[in-house]
Amino acid sequence: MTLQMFVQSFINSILSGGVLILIALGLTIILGIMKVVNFAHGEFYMLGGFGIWWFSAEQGLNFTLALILSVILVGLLGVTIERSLFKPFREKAFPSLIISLGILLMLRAATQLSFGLVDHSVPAPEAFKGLIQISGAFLSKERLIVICITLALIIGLYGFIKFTKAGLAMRAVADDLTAASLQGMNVDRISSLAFFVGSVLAATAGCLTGPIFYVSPNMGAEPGMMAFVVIVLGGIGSISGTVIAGLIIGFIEGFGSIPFGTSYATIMVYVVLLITLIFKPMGLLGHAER
Amino acid sequence: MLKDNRWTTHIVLPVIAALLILFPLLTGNKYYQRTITTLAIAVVMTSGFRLVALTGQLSIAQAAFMGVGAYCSTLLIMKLGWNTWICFFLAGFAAALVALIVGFITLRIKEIYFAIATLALNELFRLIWVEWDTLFGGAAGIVNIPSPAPILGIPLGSVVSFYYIAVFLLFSITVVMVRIERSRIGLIFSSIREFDTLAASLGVNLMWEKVKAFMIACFFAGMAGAFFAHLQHYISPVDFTLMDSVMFLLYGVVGGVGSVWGPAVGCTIMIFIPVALRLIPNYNPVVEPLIFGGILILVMRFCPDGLVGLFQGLVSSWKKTGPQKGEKEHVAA
Repeated sequence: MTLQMFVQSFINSILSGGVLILIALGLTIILGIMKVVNFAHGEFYMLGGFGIWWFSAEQGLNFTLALILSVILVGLLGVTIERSLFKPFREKAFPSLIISLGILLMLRAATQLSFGLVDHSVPAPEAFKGLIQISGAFLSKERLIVICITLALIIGLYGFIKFTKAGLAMRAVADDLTAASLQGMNVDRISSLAFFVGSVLAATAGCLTGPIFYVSPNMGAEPGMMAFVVIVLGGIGSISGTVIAGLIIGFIEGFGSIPFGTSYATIMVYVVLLITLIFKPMGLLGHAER
Repeated sequence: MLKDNRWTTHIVLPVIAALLILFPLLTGNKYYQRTITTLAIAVVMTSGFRLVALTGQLSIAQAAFMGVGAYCSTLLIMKLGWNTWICFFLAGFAAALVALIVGFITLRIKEIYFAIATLALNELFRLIWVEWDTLFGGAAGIVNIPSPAPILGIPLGSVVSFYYIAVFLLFSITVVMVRIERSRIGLIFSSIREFDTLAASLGVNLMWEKVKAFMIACFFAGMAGAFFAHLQHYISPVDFTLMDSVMFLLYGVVGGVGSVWGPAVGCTIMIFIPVALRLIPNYNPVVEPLIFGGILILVMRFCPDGLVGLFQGLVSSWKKTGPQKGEKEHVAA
C-alpha cells in the first residue's frame, strides 16, 4: 500500500467512523436513558438527508439554512414519535423494539411513496468544493470539513453530557429512572430531550453525507444496522465505548474494503463483533448490570 | 399465562388436522393448495419465533436460519448427490448448530444483545451468500433444484405432494409446541420469561434453556428452508432477508405469542391482507410496509397479547361476569 493510498483510506475510515459515531451516539443515549431500543434510528439519518435535499435542491435554500431546518424538523419529529409512541414503552426493551420496527417500516415506505426509489443528489456548497493535497494524496475538502464538524459535534455532546445540568440529569435518569423521578427530575422532559438530541445527531449525519453520497429511501438501513453493531461492540450506554467502537469499525471498513471489497469488510465487522462478544459479553467498555 | 385448555388441543386441533388432510380431496384447486402450502411454511417459521419468545427473547433472524437450511440441503443434494430426505433433516441440524453457536455467544446476558445480534446475523448470512458466489451462486442464487426423492415409489413434485409435506411439517411443529407447553420445559421457559432471577435461583440454567429453545426453533426453520428450496426449485439471498425475518415477527406479534394459535391466526390474517389489497385497482404495493408498520404499532399499543390474547381476554371476562350481568358488573368493579 502506497503512502498516498494509506492517507486516503485513513481519511475515509475517519469519515465513515465519524458518521457512524454520530448516529450511534444518539442511539446509545436513547437506549441508555429510556431503555428504548429504537431500530428506526437509521431512518432519522435518512430523513435528515431527505430534508437537506428537499430544502436545498428543491427549494433552493442555502446549504447551512437547509441543514438547520432539516435537522430541527427531524428532531421535532423524533420528539413527536417519542411522546406519542415510545412513551408507554419506556423501560420495556422488547415492546419498544417491536414498536420501532413498525415505525421503521412506516417511515421508509412513506418516504418512498413521497419521493420515489430513485437516488437524489444534494448540491454541495461552494466551501465544500475543491481538493487538498496531503503527501501526494488528493483529498476532497468536503470530506475534511465533514470530519471536522463531526469531531466538533462529538466533543460538544461529550461536554454537554459531562458538564451541563441537563447532561447530569440525563445520566441520573439513565442510572435509575425511579430514583431520578423521586428526586423531582422531570423524566418526560429529559426523555424528550434525549430523543431530540439523538434524532438531531442522526439527521446531522444524514445532512453531512448528503452531498458526498446520494439520498435514497433505503440509505438508513445499513448505517442504522451498523450503529447497533457499534453500540453493542462498545458497550451499551458508554459514550467513550461508542466512540472507540465507531472508529474500529470505520477503520475495518476503510482499510478492509481496499484489498477485499466492501462486502467482505462488512462481513469482517460482524465477525469482529461476534469474537468480541465471546470474550467481553457486555462489549468493550460495557459494565455488567448483573 | 398460557390459557390453551385441553378442549382446544384435544378436539379443535384434531378437527383442523383432519380438515387439512382431507382438503385436497374436497377441492382439486391447485391455487388453494399452493396458498395453504405457503401459509403452512409461514406458520412453522412463526411458531419458531414464538418458541424463542416463550423464553423472553426476540429472534429477528428466523429467515436466515431458513436460508441456512435451504442452502445446506440444496448444496448437499446438487453437489454431492445425497438423498433428499437425509438432507432434509441435515438442514435442520445445520441450522440448529448455527443457533447453538450464536446462542452460546449472545444469550449469556439477559436483555437485548441477542435481538441485536440476530439482526446482524441475518445481514451477515445474506452477505456471505451474495459474496461467496462459487459455492452459493451469488445474488443470482441456485436454480433447477430437483423435487424430493420418491417415498415408497411414489414420485413427489406435484402440488398435492408438496401440500402434504408442508402440512406434515406444520403438524410436527404444532405437536412439539403443544408438548413443550404441557411439559417441564414449558414451565421452565415461562419461569425464565416471567422472572429470570428467581428461575436462576431455583437452579434453572438460563442460558442453556434459552439456547435450547432457539435450537429447536431453528431446527424447524432449517427444515422449512430445505422444503422451501424444493417447492420453489430456486433459491437466492433475496428469499431470506431481514425483511422476511421482520415479517415472521409481525405475524407472531399480531397473532399473539401467548398461545399455540397465535402464529396460525397471525399468518392467516397478515398473508390475507395483501392478497385482498391487490384486488384494488391501481394498487401500489409500496403501501404495504406502511400498512404492516401501522398494524404492528396498533397491535403493540392496544392489544399487546395479540389477537388471540385479545380474544381469550374477552372470553374469560365474559365467563366471569356472565352474559346477562355484563356491563353493570364492570361498572361496579
